[in-house]
Amino acid sequence: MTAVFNRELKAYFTSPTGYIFLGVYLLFSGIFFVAINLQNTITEMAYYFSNLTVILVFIVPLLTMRLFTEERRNKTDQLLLTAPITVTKIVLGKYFSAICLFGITLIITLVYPLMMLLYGNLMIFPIIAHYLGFYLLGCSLIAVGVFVSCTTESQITAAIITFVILLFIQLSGMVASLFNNAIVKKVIDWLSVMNRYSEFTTGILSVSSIIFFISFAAVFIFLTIQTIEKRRWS
Amino acid sequence: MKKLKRFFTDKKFIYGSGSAVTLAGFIAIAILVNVIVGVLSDKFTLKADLTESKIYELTEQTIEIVKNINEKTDLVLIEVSGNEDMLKHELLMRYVNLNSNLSLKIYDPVKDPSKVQRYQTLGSSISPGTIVVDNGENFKVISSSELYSYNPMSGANDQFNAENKITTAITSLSKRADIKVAFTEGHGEKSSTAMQQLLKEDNIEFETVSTLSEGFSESFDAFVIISPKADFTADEIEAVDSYLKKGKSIQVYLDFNAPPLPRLESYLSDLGISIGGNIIFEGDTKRIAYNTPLCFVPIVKSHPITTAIVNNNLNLLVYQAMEVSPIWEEKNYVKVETLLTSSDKSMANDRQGQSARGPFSVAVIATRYNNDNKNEGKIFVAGTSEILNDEFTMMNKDFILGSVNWQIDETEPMNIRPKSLSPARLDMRQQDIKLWSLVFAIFLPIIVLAAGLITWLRRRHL
Repeated sequence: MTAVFNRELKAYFTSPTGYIFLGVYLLFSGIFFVAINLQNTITEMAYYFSNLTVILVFIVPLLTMRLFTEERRNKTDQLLLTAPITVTKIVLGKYFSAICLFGITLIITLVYPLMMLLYGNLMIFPIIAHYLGFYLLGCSLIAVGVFVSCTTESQITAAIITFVILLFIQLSGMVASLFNNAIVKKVIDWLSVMNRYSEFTTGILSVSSIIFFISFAAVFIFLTIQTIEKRRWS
Repeated sequence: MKKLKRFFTDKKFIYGSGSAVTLAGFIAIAILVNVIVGVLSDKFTLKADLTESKIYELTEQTIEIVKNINEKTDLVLIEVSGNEDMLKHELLMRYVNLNSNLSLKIYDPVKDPSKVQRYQTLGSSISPGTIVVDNGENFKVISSSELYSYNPMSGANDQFNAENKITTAITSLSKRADIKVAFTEGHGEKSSTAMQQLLKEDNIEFETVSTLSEGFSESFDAFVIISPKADFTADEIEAVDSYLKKGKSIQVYLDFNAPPLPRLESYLSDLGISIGGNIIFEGDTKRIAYNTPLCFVPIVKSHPITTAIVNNNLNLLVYQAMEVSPIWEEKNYVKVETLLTSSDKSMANDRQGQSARGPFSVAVIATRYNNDNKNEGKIFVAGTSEILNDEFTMMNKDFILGSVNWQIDETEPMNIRPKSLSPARLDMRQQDIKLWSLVFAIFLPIIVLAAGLITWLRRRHL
């Protein structure tokens, strides 16, 4: 798994993909930070992170679109699948590399709170909650992207499908409000990744939300493993 | 038969069904784990409040009060689906987790208008964000504006006062059952349907009592005298005095147009309240309403009665107001405080045509106490009964109910401080902002993108 992880992480930085992801993220993140925090001279990062969730819908497909599609297009998936390594390890290696890059991106943005420390008192714990929540949200959405990338051979198709699914997830709160049935509404609300994330933005570190994000990502990773396994016997 | 056998022994079927079962099992386990953790999290509040002001943490006072609730009580949150306020949700959940008699109900005014309509009260529309404490018999509505304190300087809500309001409502609801107010009659008093309706909606019972024949009975917590046209008798004044000495309350609304009431005015003067006998004309155009200087927005002074009004920058309206002013601030065990005044640009004309320059007090409250600092009566006097006019109920509701509640409600004020919502500010100069804006929004992304471009170009020529 470490070999796959290292190879994938290195691939992000030997191709423009990783840099584009980093650059686009930092561009929008910088604009939001300047517009929300610097222009209003506030240390509260809730509004900044709330706005950034929209950007995830656009940049997660960038990060995940090539993970499996490229292997299939170049036919290197056959090499990989016949290598002495389990499918689980391959999928986990690729997934971890993607969330590692996302983590590196978030670490770079820590310069924002560090800068704010120079100019005022910072509420450290809420900021930790924001970063943790946002990272977990990103990891869950990346898992969706990883799953989509193993279902198609085209990077563009993978990116578009991922974008559509993530957009739907983003709007799930609105979708829930369209239903009159309380049970349906409650189920959609319960499944809503964005609802869970909003807990973090209001300064609550909830065990149930952390477990939800981990299991949400686990289900999609498991789906990816099953989809690739299916190719072996079908 | 052979086909069927072949279907069931087919490699695809065996692997496929195995895979489907594994997947279903995995999802089921994931859901189960989440449900269990969710239940445990709700039950034991497996959540950490990371906010600086600990917004979600309930005080010991609230915890003790809520744990002692013995009757089924609903905490109703009115909100539109898709526009939920996590702050209120989380706080209400913490109340509900303390006592199984409490339950949280969420009503959408768009989808469940009939349920929301039940809590509609005079002078207050049930807007999204409202919280209702309902014990089945009575309910108490806490509007969204009472939950937050708006700061006009920052243009945002900077304090969250929900715990104080909810806990006070819970306490007051259980104590309110026996509170009764009487409206006097027999002196040509006006009746105020608006005030009666407001009292009814606040679960306060009321009756109309002829004080000439029935006196001032102790069974009432307060007497309300609205614009009397005939003076009170000496016996009545004596009865009022002994009634107040028992720690009871009186509200008096006087009008400029009514004839002078020497006995009542003399008694009020003994309590430090002077009746001006003049009518106020507001001179500050920003405070004038309905294009007449007789109708104006008074300046509201800070007092427990006016806390909600002052904190939320709400306005009141008074019409044809007469000056009622304190003769002293504190003397003879009577403390007199001004609640409303006109502006310093106002003028007042008395019945002889003499005019004077403002500001003038429009409403005052006198509190009498004895040697042991024990309450011996609270007297509220307003220089206009028009404050109770149906037309102004929407604006004056908080003031009317605030004054009654402060006088009669024995509920001790909650010592629960509002939680600060205002984020810490950055002490930055304009040039610092410009510098960091360039660094974060331009230089940082450009450096990364340039590194990507260099990598791409270098590898292209390998």
